[in-house]
Amino acid sequence: MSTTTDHVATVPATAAVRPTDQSARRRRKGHRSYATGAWNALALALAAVFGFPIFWMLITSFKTSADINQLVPQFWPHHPTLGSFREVLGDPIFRQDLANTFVITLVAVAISVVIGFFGAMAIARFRFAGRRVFVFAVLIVQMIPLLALTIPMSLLLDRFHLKNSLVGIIIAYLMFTMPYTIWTLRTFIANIPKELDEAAMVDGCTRFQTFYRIILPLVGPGLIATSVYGWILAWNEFVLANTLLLDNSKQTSMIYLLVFQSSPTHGADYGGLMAAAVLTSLPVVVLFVLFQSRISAGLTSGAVKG
Amino acid sequence: MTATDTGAPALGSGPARRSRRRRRPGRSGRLPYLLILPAVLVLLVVVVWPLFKIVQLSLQKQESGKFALFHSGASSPFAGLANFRTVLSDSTFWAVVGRTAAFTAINVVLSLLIGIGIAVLLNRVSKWARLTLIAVLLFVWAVPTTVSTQVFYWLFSNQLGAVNYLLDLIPGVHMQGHDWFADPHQGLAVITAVVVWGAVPLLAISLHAGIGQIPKEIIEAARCDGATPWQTFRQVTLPVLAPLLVILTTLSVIWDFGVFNQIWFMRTGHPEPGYQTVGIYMYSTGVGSSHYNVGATIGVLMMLGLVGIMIFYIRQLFRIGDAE
Amino acid sequence: MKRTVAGAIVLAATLAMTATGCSSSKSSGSDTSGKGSALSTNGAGKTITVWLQSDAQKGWPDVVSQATQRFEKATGAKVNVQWQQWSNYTTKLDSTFAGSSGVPDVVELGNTQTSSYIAAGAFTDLTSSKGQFENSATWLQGLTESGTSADGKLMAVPYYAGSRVVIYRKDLWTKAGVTTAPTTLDELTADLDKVKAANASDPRFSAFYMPGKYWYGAMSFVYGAGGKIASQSNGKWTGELESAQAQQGLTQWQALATKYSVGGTTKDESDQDPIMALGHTGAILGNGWEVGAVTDKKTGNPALAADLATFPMPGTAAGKYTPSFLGGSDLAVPAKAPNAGLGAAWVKYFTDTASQTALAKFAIPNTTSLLSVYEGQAQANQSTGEAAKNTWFVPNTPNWANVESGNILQNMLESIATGKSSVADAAKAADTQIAKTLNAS
Repeated sequence: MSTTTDHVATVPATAAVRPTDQSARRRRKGHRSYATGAWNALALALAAVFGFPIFWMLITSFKTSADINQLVPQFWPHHPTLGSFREVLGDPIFRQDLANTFVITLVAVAISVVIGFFGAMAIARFRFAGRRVFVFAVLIVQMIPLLALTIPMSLLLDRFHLKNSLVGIIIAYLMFTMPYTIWTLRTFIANIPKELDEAAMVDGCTRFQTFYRIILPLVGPGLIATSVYGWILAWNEFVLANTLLLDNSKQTSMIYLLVFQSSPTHGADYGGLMAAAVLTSLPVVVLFVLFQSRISAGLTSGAVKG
Repeated sequence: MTATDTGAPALGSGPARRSRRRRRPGRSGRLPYLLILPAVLVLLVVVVWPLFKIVQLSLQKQESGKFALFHSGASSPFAGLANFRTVLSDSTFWAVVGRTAAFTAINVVLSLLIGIGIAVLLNRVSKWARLTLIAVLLFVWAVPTTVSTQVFYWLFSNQLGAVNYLLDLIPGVHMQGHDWFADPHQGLAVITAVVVWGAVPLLAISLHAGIGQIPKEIIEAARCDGATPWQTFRQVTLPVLAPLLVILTTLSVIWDFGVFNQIWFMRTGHPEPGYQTVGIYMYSTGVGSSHYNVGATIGVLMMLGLVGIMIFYIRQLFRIGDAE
Repeated sequence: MKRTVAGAIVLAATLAMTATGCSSSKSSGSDTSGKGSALSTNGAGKTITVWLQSDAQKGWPDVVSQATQRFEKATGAKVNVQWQQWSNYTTKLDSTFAGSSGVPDVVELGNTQTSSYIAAGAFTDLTSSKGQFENSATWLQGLTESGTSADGKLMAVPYYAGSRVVIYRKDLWTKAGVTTAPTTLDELTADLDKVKAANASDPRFSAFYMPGKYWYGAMSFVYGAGGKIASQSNGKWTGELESAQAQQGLTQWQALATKYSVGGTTKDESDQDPIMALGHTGAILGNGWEVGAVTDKKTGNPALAADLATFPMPGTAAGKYTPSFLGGSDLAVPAKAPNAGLGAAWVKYFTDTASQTALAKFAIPNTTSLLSVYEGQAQANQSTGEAAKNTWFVPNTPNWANVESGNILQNMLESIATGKSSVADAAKAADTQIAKTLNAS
């Protein structure tokens, strides 16, 4: 349709013909509930497809070994047992590794978000010599394959006696969480109209007050969203953790999960693996559920941009 | 990119603000440097040195086995571009590159399409359906790739897999004992399924939040103007989502290009030639064999390749930067 | 202007780091070359770190703890055992050995991995202490060789071994009319035909489950037919899989993998035990301990315990077995170990007669003098003990590990098993890659 008809149509719709508009909306609503039903069905179908592997994980973790090792797949735990969970939870190394994962992820994400926020502020709000170099560096860094950096990173931490320590692995994780955070936050900050902080400064706010009072609250949802993404990356990281953390008591849950794989003398323990995987994923799911409403609510209410 | 939306000073801003701006002519003294200082320090420590190290390794002669590494490279002679010549003249490498490009493209396109589709869908369904689907997506997102890959491997197993079992129930379909991994194309399709499965939640949920930002009135108005849903999507939704889509595409390309865990665990640590993408190739010919010089060379090439793919994006980014 | 300043800072920082890199590399370079170590008994107040694979954690933790107790009593040192997983293990070892902190005092390695680390100077020379390790005169030859350097120095101590035998379902074979174990390959084939025919109605049934990537299994036939993987002359390696003997062996294996095996063409042997536990498998080729894995109450089916039996893989003629791959693990003391002497002392306790007698319940002990103890444990152990007397081993050269990590043999076998290429073509392609990998400088 052409732009002229667009204009012609818009003017009456917004100006005079309110009642028609209302009734049209009502009519559409009846029509739409049909459509909504269809969309709901589609959403449920998608949930089923996407959820099936999760369902499989869950039922496996409750199955007895005999039910897991069946030629015909068992779609329900016919003899539900908490044996796998009891075994995993009873292992002090599992609890220790989960705690390690938590600490490592929390600190790495927190540092990334703080440092990343400053960095993102700088490139979203200022123009300065070296800005492009910095932006370029942040972008390029994300393209470095982590695998190739494992050994150099290990040697670097070794030099500062930080290998096999949580501090060391946190530093190593900054390698991928921080550039990513800068990159994403930069967009969130750029989306806040500059006029807002300019207005605040006219009103006598200092730079710092502007950050603190204007930008931080507005970018809050962005901060949460970015942290959640970063959290996932760090929580599920495997190669660096496997190389840099040497003691069982310092490992992360991802390394712990390897115990259940088959080894030359033992078969794979799928029940244990799935129970441990469910327990390892649960904290992340809880975190998501806690923040999900905030992310969405924050984003929609903060829709001042337009 | 979005920087331009707000980067250019609004035309209507008052003279007071203008003059204030002029007093600090676009530059803000030391402040931005202070702001980036921590980030620069971290980058210097955690990235520049290791990066320097892999470039150095890629330029040194490949010593037999682990020797060079254990003696910290002191004895490794400078080899110029010999490693690069070796890698680049290997036809296997180019086959791997082609496969990686196709694999990345398919994964990125599929995850984005499904992600957008679900995001749009989430805005049309009833609350309970939305919450159900989001809950499932969140759980999917939370599952580590190491685990999800093993679950998929198991589901697609030729003898014990639920997928073959379920497909076999369809009349006329005989999937009993079908080996999904005998043909690398089918095998990579299964791997694509894991990758897309794991990538969709982030895409769908962020895009859903993005769509939520669009004022309802605009969409209503478009509808009243007689725009079809597709037109509304193209003319209203997509432009608003564009900046977010650019970011998500960038990240997807970077992540899918470097996919490792999914292929590695799906082939139980022994990926056949037909399954080798650049990340796997780097690991099995470089890191895993302790051929760190070759590994570093492939790593450097990987980076260059990725920069090459992204060059248009980067150029656009910097052109906008110039315009600012 | 500012940009150049920033650039200069970056450069300066990098150079400073490189400079420290050079200085430390010199110091570390000198202490890795062929340093010997004597066993130490003076460990009061010290703690040694031992890296063992989780096989011991799951299989024989008591063997570890009793050796540790005796060691702690004798030396006064404490032992900190850290369980390892095989996945990505070499990357972890590489990065640890390349650094200076966190180096353990004892590490376990797969016996095909040791030679590349020995060549790299990663281990302490234990030659002078060899006499102090019990049974060192009767150590299994194959394991000892894997722990010995090219110039004959002892760099790693044999830990345990495994040899592969045929594990079969006696009940299914009897039902098919086979009551005596075959003594030649031809008899085996005839028996498998009967077992296959008796179960023809079961599309999932494997008379002999032989996964397509099972290179330890396939290469046994190559060696059994008089072939080998590679040979060396004048310092140059040549792949030998194209030879007539090797191809004959590969063809024998191909028959097992295609004619009698269902569903395993793209798999390796890692899940053959749970597969056998499902009940649709007549036989597998596996380590003695896999009988335990098939009947494991968690990952297998305990009900099969009475029906499983073993015999060594027959060869072309009666009384001549197809040689078995001698798998196993070695223990080594890293060159950079902070307490090398104590580490070696722990190895002494962990590999002495008392420990190995206890270990013989689970795996083949490291000495021929204890084979009878091992064979007395179970019927399966008689077969594996028998098989352990005629074994083959991979070409003992530092680059061999790269043939493994490059999956050269597995890819060759899979292409044979799936029918993608003929034995001759696959062998030729593999030979080229093997020669390239082994001769790489």
